[in-house]
Amino acid sequence: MATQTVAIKAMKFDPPTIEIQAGDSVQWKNEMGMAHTSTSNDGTSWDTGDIAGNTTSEAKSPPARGSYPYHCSIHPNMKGTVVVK
Amino acid sequence: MTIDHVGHPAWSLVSRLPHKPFASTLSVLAVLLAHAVHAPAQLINCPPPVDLAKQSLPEIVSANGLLRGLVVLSDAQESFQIGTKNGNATCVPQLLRFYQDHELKPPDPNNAMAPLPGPTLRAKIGDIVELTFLNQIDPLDYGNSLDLGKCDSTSSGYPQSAGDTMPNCFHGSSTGNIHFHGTHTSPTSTGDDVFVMVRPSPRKDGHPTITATSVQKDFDAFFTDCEKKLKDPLEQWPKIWADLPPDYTDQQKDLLTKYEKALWDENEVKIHAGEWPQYYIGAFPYCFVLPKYGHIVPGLGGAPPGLRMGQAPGTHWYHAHKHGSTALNVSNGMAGAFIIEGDEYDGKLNAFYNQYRTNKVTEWTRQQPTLVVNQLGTTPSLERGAGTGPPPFSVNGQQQPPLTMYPGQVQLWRIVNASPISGFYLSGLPEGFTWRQTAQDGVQFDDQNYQKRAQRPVFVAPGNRVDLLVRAPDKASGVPFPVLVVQGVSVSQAETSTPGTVLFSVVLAGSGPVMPLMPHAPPRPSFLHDIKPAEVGGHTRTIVFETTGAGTGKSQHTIDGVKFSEGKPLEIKPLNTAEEWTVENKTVRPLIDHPFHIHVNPFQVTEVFDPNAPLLDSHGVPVGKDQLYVVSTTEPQLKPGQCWLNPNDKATWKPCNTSPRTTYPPEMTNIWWDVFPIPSGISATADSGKIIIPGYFKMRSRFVDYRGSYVLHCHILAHEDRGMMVEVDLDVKNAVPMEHH
Repeated sequence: MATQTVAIKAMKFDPPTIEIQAGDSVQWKNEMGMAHTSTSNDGTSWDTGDIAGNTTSEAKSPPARGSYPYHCSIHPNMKGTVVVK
Repeated sequence: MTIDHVGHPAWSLVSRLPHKPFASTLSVLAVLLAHAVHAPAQLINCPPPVDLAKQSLPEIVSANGLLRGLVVLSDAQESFQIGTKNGNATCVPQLLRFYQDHELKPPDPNNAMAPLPGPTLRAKIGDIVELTFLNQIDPLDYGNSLDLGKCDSTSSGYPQSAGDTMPNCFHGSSTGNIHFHGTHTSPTSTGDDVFVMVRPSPRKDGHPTITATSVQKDFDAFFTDCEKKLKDPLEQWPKIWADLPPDYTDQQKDLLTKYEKALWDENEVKIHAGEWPQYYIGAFPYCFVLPKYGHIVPGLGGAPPGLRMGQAPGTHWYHAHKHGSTALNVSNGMAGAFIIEGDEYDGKLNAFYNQYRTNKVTEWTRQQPTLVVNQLGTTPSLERGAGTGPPPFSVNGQQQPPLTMYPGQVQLWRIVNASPISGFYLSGLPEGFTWRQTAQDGVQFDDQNYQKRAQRPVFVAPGNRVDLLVRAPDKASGVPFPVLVVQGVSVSQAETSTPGTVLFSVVLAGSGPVMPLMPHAPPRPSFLHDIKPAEVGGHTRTIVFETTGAGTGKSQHTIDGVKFSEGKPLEIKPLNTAEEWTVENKTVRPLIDHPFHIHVNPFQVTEVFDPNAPLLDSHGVPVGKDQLYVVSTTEPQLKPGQCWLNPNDKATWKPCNTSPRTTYPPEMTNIWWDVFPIPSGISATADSGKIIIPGYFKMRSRFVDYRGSYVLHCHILAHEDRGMMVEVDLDVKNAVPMEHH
């Protein structure tokens, strides 16, 4: 059960696509001053809620294998993908 | 159809072929809904790219004080770019609606037309505008968006899926009209009257029966009368139905009765009340004045006419404005530039730059490129629903076209953001270019703003115009210079993003006289002096824009908590007063800086509060990753330039006076706008719980010269179509409410 980290910087998710193993989780480290979210596009898999500037979200585990595109609900141009192997 | 996060239709990039086999409009709608066939894209050759500096857009040019011409709303297959393959643009034939300065010619079977903006209208201050407007689109090409007095419906569940109801839903896109955006003129009758709705001409043997020839005699007589009446620029004529030629009104009564008797009945109610009827078929005569401040009319008595304002010379524009179909029609391309020339702007620019011309016949300003930016959409009947996101930007109908300058040349770029969807943030031009902004929304800067805002980034919201004097580097280059922008609807988000969208590319080639940037801007016309607090005299009000439910498929866009309501106007009176408004935005998720637009009278922005703003340096460039405001209920440690935003203390919800964006130095005057993006709000936690701290701007405006009903609205036009609009009644009370069927 590992947790991997996606950074949020310069209005982008870094890396934009992250691969994890089933059962692992992802957390988002907001390295910017403004709030962001990580919200799965399907609307059900996860939503971190607001991640305040310079804080890290709770770890989230997508429910099954597959590809999960997500976005920031405050800044919808920010997009990323979690791939569960 | 789907509604995306900012509430606009998610456009499909699939070609659609015309359907014309039906007689009954109702049966067309039913059949098309049942057979929403997705035709495979048929690739065709794209037209070769045209240099924006040499592109000759059609123009209607005024002469002898009259801007007289023909504006025809037509539809045809156009060559629509859907992408790029192996470095070459790929196009499909696409049915689009557009304005032209002539009636539709027989199509060339071998070539689809390139999509172009409508003809550029080029008038002078003081002119009378006389436009014969014809609606000659074939409604059977748009079976899913007919004028049936109800919302368009799609197989994917719209309007129920979005929670939309009449009149705040997508509907009636075959109806045509024109909003003359940026004009200070009468909003009534044949002026800038967006309540006028012109249905398409009847057709016989596939051709419209109402033509330029068929209405010429009546309209010529009307325009002759209009010229006499509008010699007094404050005269709001025509006033009543009987002011129009009787042959025309008789024909309209006959046509409307046959088309839909209820529409004529509604016209009759208006006519009997002495008010201007809203419904027409096939043709409408636009006639209004572009008032010249200080204009004195010989023979009308000794006193001057008493204009409080005049028309500002500058880059204005025109576009479709039928509530319910503004987004769809403008994204089809129903928009064009309206350049209003005046001695105090064009005259002064020409006095400085004419000496550098190689073409000595035409004034320098008339040789400069007009750049109409749009996001052309491809679902004219709203019947498709692929979520491909907003379309790419085009400039004069082309994606990423070239624009040639010679080394050392200065050009005046008149940029119109006609997009109904997105703004763009121009943080700068390529290295070696220098530039000065000379005007905002068609109103020239005075010298103080010209100097202070030199080389500054600019956010061009939907509906905004900017005039830029741009000087090319002195040395030629073998590679084009892309003009990069950030596409978006939030200024704060754009400021912190890396520009990655190419608007067009500058090619340096050729040679000519080396030109300087004009060292000083000419003075603004005197009627554009700042509105001081004493002039406002305590007349204030607050209005609140808000989007809720984004991401649910049922986003709702409201002003003061409600959608547009017929017969519930915002009342301003008496005429010739100034007011100060606080325009708030409580939208927080996503950030949408709704572009506030009000017709007829421009406004001055005096204060901006953007709680999401980044910390900027004096050049408008973000400083590191820091925010301008630190949101906290306890006093935080602030970095230089930051301010404390305390959710518990409304007194702190105000501009941080250290920011170059939210304040203007005291030596600057206030800029005039007719569209301004309202900063989004921010979520915060107060002792009382979760709250929204709204963003806002304050503006002052003179509501002067012309009584009448018009509108204010969000210029993300799908928001307007879906209800983010308010009728404004300036010193009038309509006995019969305006309708939007």
